[in-house]
Amino acid sequence: MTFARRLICTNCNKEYDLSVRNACGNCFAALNVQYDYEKLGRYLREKIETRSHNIWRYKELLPFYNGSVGIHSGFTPLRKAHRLGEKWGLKNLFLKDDTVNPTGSFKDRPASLGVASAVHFGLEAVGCASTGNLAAATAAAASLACLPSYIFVPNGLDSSKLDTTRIFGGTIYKLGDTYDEVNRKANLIADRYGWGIVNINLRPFYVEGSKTLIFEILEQLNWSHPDHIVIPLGSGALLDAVNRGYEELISLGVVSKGDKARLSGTQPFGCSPIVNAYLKGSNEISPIKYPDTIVKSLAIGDPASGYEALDIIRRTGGWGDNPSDAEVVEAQLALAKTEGLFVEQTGGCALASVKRKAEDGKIDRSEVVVVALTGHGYKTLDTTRQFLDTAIENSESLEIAV
Amino acid sequence: MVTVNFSTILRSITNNESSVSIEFKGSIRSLLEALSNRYGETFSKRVLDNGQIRRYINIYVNGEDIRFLQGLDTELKSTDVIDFIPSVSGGC
Repeated sequence: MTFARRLICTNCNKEYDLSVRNACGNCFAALNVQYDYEKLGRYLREKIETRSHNIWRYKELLPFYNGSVGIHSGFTPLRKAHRLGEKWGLKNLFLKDDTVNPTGSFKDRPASLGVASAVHFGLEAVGCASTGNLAAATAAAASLACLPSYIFVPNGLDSSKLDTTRIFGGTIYKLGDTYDEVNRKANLIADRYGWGIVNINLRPFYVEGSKTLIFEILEQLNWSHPDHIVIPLGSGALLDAVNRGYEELISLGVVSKGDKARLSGTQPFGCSPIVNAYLKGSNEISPIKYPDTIVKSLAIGDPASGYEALDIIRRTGGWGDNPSDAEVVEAQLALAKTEGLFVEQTGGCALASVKRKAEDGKIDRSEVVVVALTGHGYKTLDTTRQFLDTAIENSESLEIAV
Repeated sequence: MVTVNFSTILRSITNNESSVSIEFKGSIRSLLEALSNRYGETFSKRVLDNGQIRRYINIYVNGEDIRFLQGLDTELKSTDVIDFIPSVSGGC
């Protein structure tokens, strides 16, 4: 059963029934799912610990449980990075490895919730506006729900992201040169066709899936707080969901009050509207018309949850940081060569920020730092290949008869 | 004649109209006044916040966000298509 009871506006607190809508009809701000926390009962932690290792482990704090969708998503490893930590002078560097989700990114979490909500509302098709990772995740979740999926993407994505989406049966439409253009058009499509576009008209339910990332991190740390969590920022919604899930577990007593981790955000220098506002000490986020970065998953110039993310960073004492593309690749390859893990540029961006902040003393050597590695490196191989400095040798360089 | 489209959520302030074509010449600011005359004062109260476009609404002229044009002072041509869309969408 679900304990989700209503939608509530994050700005004016107007309440709505659980329904297909992405914003408040009064002030047009975002809506969050509100739960009957008082009905959850006791022993929530114990109940959670008996369940299967997927996102539904935390089903009381998610809308619309579905026994088919999402069953392969979540409960990814929290790995201690001994060698990379040693290289960068950090004793307790942990990596939340979401590369092992079914389509290779954390997007399997929210996409599962988006598609489960489409099933709940009886919608005939699902879709999404995507920079690539959500594309495959939505198509895969749709295949589990036996629904068609329509996927809207910008031009210029790595071919592996498009091919993965097609493998799961998603129909791809290229709708423009930037994600923001695609997003605008997807809004019009949602209005016109009545499909469940998971990150548009199902967004309040979709974003709930990302809370499972923090639920797992805290459980894997034996329900104790890390000192610091570093999250890549595209729209900012992941950081917002992480913070909301964190607050839920604190308010329910699943983790202790006090000592909540600092939450920091990272964006590439060529598209860092949220971090720019943080660094300027501004309360205004200026959109970026033409993102200029190889970190395509974070190339969102007009972040929908930017203000929420900015506020969370400031309230929790975190930082915002924006490494260059060169630093991103350096960190991405350092991870591969020390820990044997291959992540896409988004993970490299988060790690590059950790390296920079460790160097300038903003991360203490003994801090327990958790970095979200949100997508697998195979997804952006076209981009990464340009930076490889290891030649492929021919057989004549070996002293054997071939 | 400019065409103005409203995303579903915004139809709460347009008497449920999804699209309207009107004879109009002037800036986005003037268009908002014209739309307020059509839909009532509530329209401008909900769209504007201290004289600026509310943070939760994006306005596009022929697909271009007016923040990348001249904002409220963006001048409109008779064939322009204007979209009002909530900013809360996409990503994660």
